[in-house]
Amino acid sequence: MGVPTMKHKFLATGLSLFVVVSTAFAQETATTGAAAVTEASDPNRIYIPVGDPNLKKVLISIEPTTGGGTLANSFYATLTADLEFTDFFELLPPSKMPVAKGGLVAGSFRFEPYRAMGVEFLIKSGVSMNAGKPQAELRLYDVARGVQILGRLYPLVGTVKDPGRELAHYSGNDVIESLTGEPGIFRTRILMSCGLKKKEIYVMDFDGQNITQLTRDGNFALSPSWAPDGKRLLFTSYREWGTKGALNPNLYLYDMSLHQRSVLSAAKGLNTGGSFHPTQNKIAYTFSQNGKPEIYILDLGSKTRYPITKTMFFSVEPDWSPSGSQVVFSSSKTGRPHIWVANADGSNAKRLTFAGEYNSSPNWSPKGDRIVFSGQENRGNNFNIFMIDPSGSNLVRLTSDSHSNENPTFSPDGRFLAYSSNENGSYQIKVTTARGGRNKTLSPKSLGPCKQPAWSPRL
Amino acid sequence: MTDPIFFEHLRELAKQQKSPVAAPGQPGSIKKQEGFFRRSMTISLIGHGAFLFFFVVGPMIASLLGVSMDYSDRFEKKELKNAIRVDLVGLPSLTLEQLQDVDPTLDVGAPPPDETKAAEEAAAASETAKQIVLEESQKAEQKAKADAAADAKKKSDDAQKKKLADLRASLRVEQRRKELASELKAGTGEGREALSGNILSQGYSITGDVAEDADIFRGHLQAHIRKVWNVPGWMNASNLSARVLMKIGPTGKLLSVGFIKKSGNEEFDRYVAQAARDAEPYPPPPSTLQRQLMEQGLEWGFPQ
Repeated sequence: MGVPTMKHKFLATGLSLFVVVSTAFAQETATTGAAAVTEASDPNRIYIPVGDPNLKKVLISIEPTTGGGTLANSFYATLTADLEFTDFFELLPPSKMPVAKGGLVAGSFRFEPYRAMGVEFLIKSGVSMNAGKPQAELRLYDVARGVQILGRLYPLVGTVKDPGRELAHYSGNDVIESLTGEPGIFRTRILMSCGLKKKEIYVMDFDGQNITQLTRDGNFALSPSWAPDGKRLLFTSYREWGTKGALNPNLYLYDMSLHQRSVLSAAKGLNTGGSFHPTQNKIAYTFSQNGKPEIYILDLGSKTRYPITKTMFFSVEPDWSPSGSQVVFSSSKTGRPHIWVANADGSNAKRLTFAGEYNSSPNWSPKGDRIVFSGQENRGNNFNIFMIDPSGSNLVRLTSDSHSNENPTFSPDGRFLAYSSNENGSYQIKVTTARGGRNKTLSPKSLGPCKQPAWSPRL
Repeated sequence: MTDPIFFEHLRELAKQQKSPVAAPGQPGSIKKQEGFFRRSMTISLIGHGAFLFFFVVGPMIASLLGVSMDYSDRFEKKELKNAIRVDLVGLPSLTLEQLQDVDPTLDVGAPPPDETKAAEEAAAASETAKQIVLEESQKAEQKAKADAAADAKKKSDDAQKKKLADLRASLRVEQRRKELASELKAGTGEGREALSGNILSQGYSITGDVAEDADIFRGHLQAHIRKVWNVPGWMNASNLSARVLMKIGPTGKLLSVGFIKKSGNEEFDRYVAQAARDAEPYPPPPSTLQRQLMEQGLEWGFPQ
């Protein structure tokens, strides 16, 4: 892709003409209105616990990008859309913005008009051409304290279709990192399986843009998942098996940069639901020997496989914990399908869910603290999305819809969930925050029903 | 399939059937049958007797001896443990978002630690009066609290609070009366003035209602500040907490605000201070609490 992937990489190449990251948070407390710790607690006083805070949207003013042309327009539109996507911000409408005076650099403009409007953060940006190559400059200001908390130049390396969009994703990731301590996800992508009669694997950007078809198998290509490197993927495709011409679901590994695939498991029966181990060269997947699907580990080095579950009916849909020491899966060990967690070798299997009729497609959060799954309350009901701790506590509901929401997958920062929903008739990929609430649709209806989204690691 | 013992058993059965049995109607057979009947009856009677004894007479004796033979409790517990089918539990019906929208019960925590009315009034009184009132009222209240606490545990919360408050109030009133008497006897003008000005009037006004006022007002305050207690969506505030001291004027004006304990997270503390500021004006305190909120202030836990 266009821009170097690592910050230190472009620092080292000397391309950063000026890096003005201000990490120096001013000591200013005047605006806080509260003095230093001076008082002592007194048990005789009236005491009131306020309770947990409301999570509010922060008012931010993103000034129009200077520099003009499609580059500036694309940069501004993308940056605005990216930051809006997070649900963290309320964007000050351009019509209400103070008349732009001065440049991008602190000191050339006044914070007072922004403060008066209750704006908490201000972004100023500009694009320009440097030796024929597009570059962008972005500065993020804390309005209340009047300090710059991010300032950086983003040069574009290589050629991309839309340089403004690319540069905005990079700078947007940095804005999020400056505010939250963790980079944004504006360069991540989502895999999915789409099609009505024939299903193929597609990939799109986190915001539903740049949809690319990856397979043209002409049958059913299903359950895609990412390798930890973000360059390869696992998927299952129904291919002819043996000489009789019967279709068999085989497990494939696909290299996105080489556009090459290799067969991983093609024994008669199910070879599906592959999940890469986060650090080791092995996968967990569903394999059905004698017609009974169980979770198997397939060592990609030695090409050997061994089962880690032994159930009455089936155990499917494995997903590794971020450390790779545990596997979560859905299993009908005790009758109805429920969410189970076991050690990597299958030992210590523990049932997590006891409620509901049918719980399936678990996905472990990137930080390891939560497991999201789709659950059916009563037989014949639709599915909704629920979340639980790996310990089995803190079961919460995230969606409460009369249509089905299935196959949830965490974004690499754990703040968002993509899932498939049939709210508009046929299944589409949607995204919501990991707290539930507002959602937006990513995949267009023209692709046919899309299911089984898989969110990439940071790319 | 071909179990030798099983076949052995079959052969044994066949032999028994072939063995000569007296045909019905023959004299020997009737005798035999009568003998069999008697034996059966005896066994039956003994069996019933044993049954009755075990389940009727046994417990009676046991109860006489004071031994409990009622194990139903134990069995029930054991059975319940095994019998709970957790499948019956439903998935949560409210979403995380809806749960957060639910208005929190205005739970203001433990009952008021102490109305400190005595201390407050004493502060306005002369030095001597202050000493006495403070010491004695504290002692008396401690005792009252201990007695009341022991009692009240069994009763409902409301009853507990009310009783405690009434007890305190009556003790305080008694205290004031004694104080007044001694002060008047001593004839110290200062003391008399202070007592008549502050302690007497306020002392008689102390009833259980003050405690109730405080509870209600706390609920108002909490609901009021919650509306402006905001942090950005990205902040993980679950492990952060700060404590703030605030003094509020009779009209709800914020007189002063300061940290008793900071959270250690600068951003979090800024939003705490912001909430304290944004909540102004506060609901005007009831007359019974005005002095306390103005002079002693109140403590806020963000979030606890």
